[in-house]
Amino acid sequence: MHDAFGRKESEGQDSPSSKAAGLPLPSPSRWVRVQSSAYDLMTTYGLAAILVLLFVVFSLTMPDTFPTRFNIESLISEQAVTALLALAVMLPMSVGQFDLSVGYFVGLAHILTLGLQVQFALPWPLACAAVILSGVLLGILNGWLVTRVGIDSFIATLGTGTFVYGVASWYTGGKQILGNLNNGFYGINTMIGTVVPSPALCVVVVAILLWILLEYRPLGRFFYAIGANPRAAELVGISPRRYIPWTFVGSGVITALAGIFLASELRVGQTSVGPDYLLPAFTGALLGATAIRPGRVNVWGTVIAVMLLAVIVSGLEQTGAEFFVAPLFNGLMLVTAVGLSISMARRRAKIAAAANLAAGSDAR
Amino acid sequence: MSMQDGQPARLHLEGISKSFGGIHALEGVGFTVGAGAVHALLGENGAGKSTLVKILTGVHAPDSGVVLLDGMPCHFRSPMEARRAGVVAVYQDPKVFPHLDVAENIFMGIHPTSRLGTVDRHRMYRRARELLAGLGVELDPASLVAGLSIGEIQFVEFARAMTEGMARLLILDEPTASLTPAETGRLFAVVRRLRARGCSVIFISHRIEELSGLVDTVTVLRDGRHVATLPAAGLAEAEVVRLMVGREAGAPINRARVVGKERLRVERLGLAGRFDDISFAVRAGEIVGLAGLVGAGRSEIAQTIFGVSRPSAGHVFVNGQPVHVRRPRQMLALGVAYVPEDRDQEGLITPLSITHNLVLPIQRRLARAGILRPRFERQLAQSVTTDLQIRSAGVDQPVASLSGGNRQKVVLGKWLGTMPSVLILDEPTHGIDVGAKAQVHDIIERLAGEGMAILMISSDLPELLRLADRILVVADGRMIREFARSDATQEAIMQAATTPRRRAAE
Repeated sequence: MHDAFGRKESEGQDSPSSKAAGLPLPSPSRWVRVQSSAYDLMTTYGLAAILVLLFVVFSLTMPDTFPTRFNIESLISEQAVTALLALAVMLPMSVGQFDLSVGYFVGLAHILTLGLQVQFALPWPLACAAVILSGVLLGILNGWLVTRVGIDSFIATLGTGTFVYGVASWYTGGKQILGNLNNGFYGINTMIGTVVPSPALCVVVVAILLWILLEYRPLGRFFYAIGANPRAAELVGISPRRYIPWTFVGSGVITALAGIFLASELRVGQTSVGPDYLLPAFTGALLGATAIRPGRVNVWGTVIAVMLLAVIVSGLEQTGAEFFVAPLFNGLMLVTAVGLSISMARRRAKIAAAANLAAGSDAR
Repeated sequence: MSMQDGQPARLHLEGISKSFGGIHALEGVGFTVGAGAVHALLGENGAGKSTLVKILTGVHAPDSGVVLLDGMPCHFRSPMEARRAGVVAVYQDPKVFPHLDVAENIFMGIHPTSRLGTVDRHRMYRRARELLAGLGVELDPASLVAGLSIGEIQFVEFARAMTEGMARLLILDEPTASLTPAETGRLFAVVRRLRARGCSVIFISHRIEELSGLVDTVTVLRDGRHVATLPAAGLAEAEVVRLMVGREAGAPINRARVVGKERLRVERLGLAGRFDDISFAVRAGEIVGLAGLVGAGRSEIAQTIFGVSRPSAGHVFVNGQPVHVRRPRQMLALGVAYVPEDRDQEGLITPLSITHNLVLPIQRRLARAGILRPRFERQLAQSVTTDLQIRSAGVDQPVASLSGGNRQKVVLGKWLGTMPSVLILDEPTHGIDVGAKAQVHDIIERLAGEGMAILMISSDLPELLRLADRILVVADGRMIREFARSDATQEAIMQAATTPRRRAAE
């Protein structure tokens, strides 16, 4: 979990690896390799398998309510905002930074989207553009505080986030923002081809863009390198000061998008909306780090994790669980996700060391 | 059963075997350590030294074999039990409580208490003073451990080992690895004092050359087996290396390098409070050594040249052009690369794979139309690992899973791809075993042979003498002397490096 906590995966495994250099081995362990690839397969697709399994289980136990089109559609559109926010927090996490302002800023963003239209009579595309711009500005501010002033991101973004929350409350005066909105604005939250809700499409587009960026562009490698060891990255010419702010800007923009969709869905602006999304977003990103690309936060792991959490919560609620089950579950999952990543990292390190040991003996 | 003058030996090992998951770490190891003897335990990484230490101190139980301490068989189940019996190990990086003082560290967990059960501070400090004096160490029991050098912290551990009375067997696991020559001298004095008082010492080290004059007997382990136990007197270093490695070491160095144009020049470079008035030049194909004590300012000079710190005075020229560099990135763009001393903290991104580490500096260049080519990268990494003999299960393995020597080869391999014109190496073979060290030397030689200008910081004098064309000596942040290879000797360099410390006098 180096990406999320700036801690190294390699802790405490020096002894097996230092032994790797010169030990005689009884036999080249094919078993080690089998074990290693089985473990890889399990960790890579385990989360997705659980998702499918749970979906099937809930569908079989509640055939009338769970696998219905209505339920699936509402699940997807509700979770679109969470998924976007999970992707938003994931981006700074790839460079080892936390962005806690996301939960508060999504609140301000949806209020601004509505307020600019209702109270300032801005056309909706302009209002949306203004909200996205505010996301860029917040990202620049966060990036500046973290890389130039040198404040720990946890504290810096908690500060800016709370400040943003204050701005939102000040702006609304604690009242709801209501009013007539352009049909075009409602149009951004609709069914595309009568099957796919547009927020879900937005999630897919953002996810694909981030996926290309993080997995197929040099920039993604730079992000992960910085996240794992900023000092070493600096010494090969990858300056954390230069790249970290971009992740906060990206986070701000994605959060702004989430805010816009939230506004089109709720159609009412309330300051209390937002912070509730923060924990599920972090849980999604952290749980996502245990799958697809185990050991680091990644796009598809995050998306699968958010879907998994949504299916579980929805399934539990339909089996008659109370309203407080969701936070109970989310809190538990956050801790479980991180615990899982840590133990998986240890196990991976062990297997890798054993594999090198076997390779070393083959080479002799 | 070995006896000395009718007395049983202090430590007698017979047929000690230990395996972990089918892998033999030790197989039938046996040797004898006399009472009041200093016994060197040598071997490459993975030879089984650490496992043996862990068996002696009760961390592991042997699968088979006998351990006799003063003739009595013993089976320690924990380091605490071993300590009570007078067997204590001190490691190269002792785990201490830096925010507490010396006396509190010595007595941590075994504080002398008053009748009320509170810590008897008066007695604690008095006992601490006695223990330190007994070791011949000048250390104030009330000074904070955070301010001590690693050598002094080891002395705190020594004192801690003596709280139950004189230890019977003290095991020092690579105690000199992070010590300055002066501290090493102090350590040896303490070890001699312990020996004189009847304590047996097992001394584990990589630096074979430093052991002459201190050690009575040498035991060499290789691949978990006992190779030889020999009297140290008259034992040649090359012979020890041969026993450790199992082959002749020290292949002749290719001296036929063509020295070309000046690549790096430093004029009157200074960094306030660290170093001052440093001037030198390195030419293509040349290896220039930078010698000096730890803390003399060598790493600071290297890092300032590389743009990690901004100089307060002087100029740096790359290929004859003056440069004003504020970031390592700019220096890299000019073709200057730096390999830091601490490979895990600064040189590598250990959770990332071997491939990703190797291609990181040339990531952009390897991409086509901005898209990475993982397969091509892997092929490239494959050829580098084969070329540099990096042992791993595959190039997708995380670097964290490699041994120290292989990690250092990955660090160096990174720069094979970029071929910088200047390469600055900071302690390139620190803490890696003899076999890997020779390979790293070969790589450095080869890079110079291909026309790289190399500036190499090293505390390992034989290494400098072997590789460097010229050796610059730094003491207290000032350039003291420059040696040509022909007139450099270990003694002359040491003497220059230990020129009386101005700062200490101030």
